[in-house]
Amino acid sequence: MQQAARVSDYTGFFLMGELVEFDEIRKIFHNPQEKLTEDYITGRFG
Amino acid sequence: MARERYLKHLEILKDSVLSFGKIVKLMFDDSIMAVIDLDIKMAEKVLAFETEISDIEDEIEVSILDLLTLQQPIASDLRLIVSALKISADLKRIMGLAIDIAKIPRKIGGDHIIPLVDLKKMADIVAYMLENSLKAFETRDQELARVTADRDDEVDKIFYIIWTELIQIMLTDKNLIHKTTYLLFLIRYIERIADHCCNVCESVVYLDTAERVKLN
Repeated sequence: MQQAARVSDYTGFFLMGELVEFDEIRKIFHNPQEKLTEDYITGRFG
Repeated sequence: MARERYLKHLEILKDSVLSFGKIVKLMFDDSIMAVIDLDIKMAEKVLAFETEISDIEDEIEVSILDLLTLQQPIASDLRLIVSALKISADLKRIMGLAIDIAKIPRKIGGDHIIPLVDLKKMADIVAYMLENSLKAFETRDQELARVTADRDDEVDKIFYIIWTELIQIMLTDKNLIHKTTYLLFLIRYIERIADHCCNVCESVVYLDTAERVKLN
């Protein structure tokens, strides 16, 4: 996941085949708008 | 739940900052009481707190370094850590100013040259700001943070009223310059504490919204 943060400009978070959130990398890793994204990238589930 | 230790570690960091805040608030309240009543014993009680606090400061710093190095926090977790670091730096400055205030009663000696009614009003607003900025951090409440920072204008207004009054006293009676100078320092210290409370509020807005704002 950290590698994605380092090398990409945009990222999307998919869960069980559904696109939860897609945005600029900075927004996704700094202040995601979806709680599911936030919980995943901070390791609250995985 | 995944990363249980990590989440516990974040909670402990938040609690440490709040404990630090509670002690600093107590120091501020006591220093104001000491200066209004010219109570040397109360002032010494405030000065004695300084050594107790260094443990909490160390605890916060070590905790932050561990979290950054071992857990690579991101998103709201990283914002909590950055806010905790910034807020603890502001609390440290407030503590220093409370200590400066507590040193004044011994220097003034005798009686006050003017009734400290406006000064008490100013200190009450700052005590409110300190308490509520910490409450806003505890509850991640950016609305409360903004409302709290708004009160800085009232503090500045009272500061200039007292400032003008003290300058007039100095111009009228040269014998009072010594005591008046300490009162000028005193209102400056209180006004600076209000500014640090605004900084704490800015950190809370950042924590809650990821938005970097200037509130004073």
